Amino acid sequence: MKQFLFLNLPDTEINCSQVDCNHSMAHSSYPYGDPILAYGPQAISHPQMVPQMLGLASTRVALPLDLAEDGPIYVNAKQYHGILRRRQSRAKLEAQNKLIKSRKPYLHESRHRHALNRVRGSGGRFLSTKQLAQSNAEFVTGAHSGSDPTNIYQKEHPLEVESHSSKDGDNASFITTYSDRPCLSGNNLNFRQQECMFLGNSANMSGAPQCSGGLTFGGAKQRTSVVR
Amino acid sequence: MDQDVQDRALPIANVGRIMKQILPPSAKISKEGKQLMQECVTEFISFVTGEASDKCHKENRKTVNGDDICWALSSLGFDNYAEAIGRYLHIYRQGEREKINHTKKYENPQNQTQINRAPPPPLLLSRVENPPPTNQSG
Repeated sequence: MKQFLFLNLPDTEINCSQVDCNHSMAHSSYPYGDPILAYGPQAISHPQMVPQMLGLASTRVALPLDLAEDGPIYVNAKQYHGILRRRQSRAKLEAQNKLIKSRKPYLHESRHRHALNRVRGSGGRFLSTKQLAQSNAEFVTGAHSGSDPTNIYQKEHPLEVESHSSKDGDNASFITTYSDRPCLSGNNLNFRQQECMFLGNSANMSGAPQCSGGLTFGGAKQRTSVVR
Repeated sequence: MDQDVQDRALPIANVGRIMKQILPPSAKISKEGKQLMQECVTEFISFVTGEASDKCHKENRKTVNGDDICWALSSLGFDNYAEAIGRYLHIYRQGEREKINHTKKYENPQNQTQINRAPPPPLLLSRVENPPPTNQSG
């Protein structure tokens, strides 16, 4: 007993942390029994477990008083010596400055810097490679539509196409050829299939702006094919 | 400080993964929940291993084996854990014995010494007994 008291004297230096550890050790002995004995909901099994645990651990031993700030802490008699041994081990680690004192927000500096450089979307989450490619494509299409008129013509904007048709006679003749198509049902079906394929391709390439304007869109396709 | 966290505690990603195994798929675990569980599990492993090591020291042995862990759990009052770990240890040793016999059957006599032991099957309790290797990504 004297040896225990002598060895417990250095523990007073870290009294607060020891008391917290003791609380966690004292309370943690109960939840460990729950998962095996009762796998049902914890709210139901917890009241049932308490009397059984009390029955199992009827003999309690008081821990030394100098470490308990608010009265003695009673623990399982079987764990008494183990707890004292762990206290000594933690005291040694504390003396050697090897305990986990303050937890760092990150472990690796290089990974932290890489995470800071990553692009974030709405809501603060990182963008994946696909989302990043989509955002880059939208940016590129925006820049092209703003700068080059030839790109405007290639992008098949309905307003620009209408203006071209009002200006040139060749476009008018193409419109007349397009108006002949609805009379033939078979050709119309084939034309619609091609239109669907082209719509799919355009959706994969750019996105939402191409989906509007079906009929004029079809006419625009004919013009682009003739130009090529 | 990085070395302290990596050496003294289990990797927090693996702890979170083990916690997720018992929860429904839609459940989420907060970071401080994982951190607190990391400290609890690390302390529990040190607690049980200290008891087993104390027994080995008294018997003048240097290797702590599975039986010592089972004895330590029962001596500390975790009898239910000791039973479950005992059954798991029995199944594990059977598997190891079968693997040795299997490799002896099909390998050449010259290569008998090169026997690859596969890791134990993933089980919730097995991870508590056998801590996973230190993961740099944690």
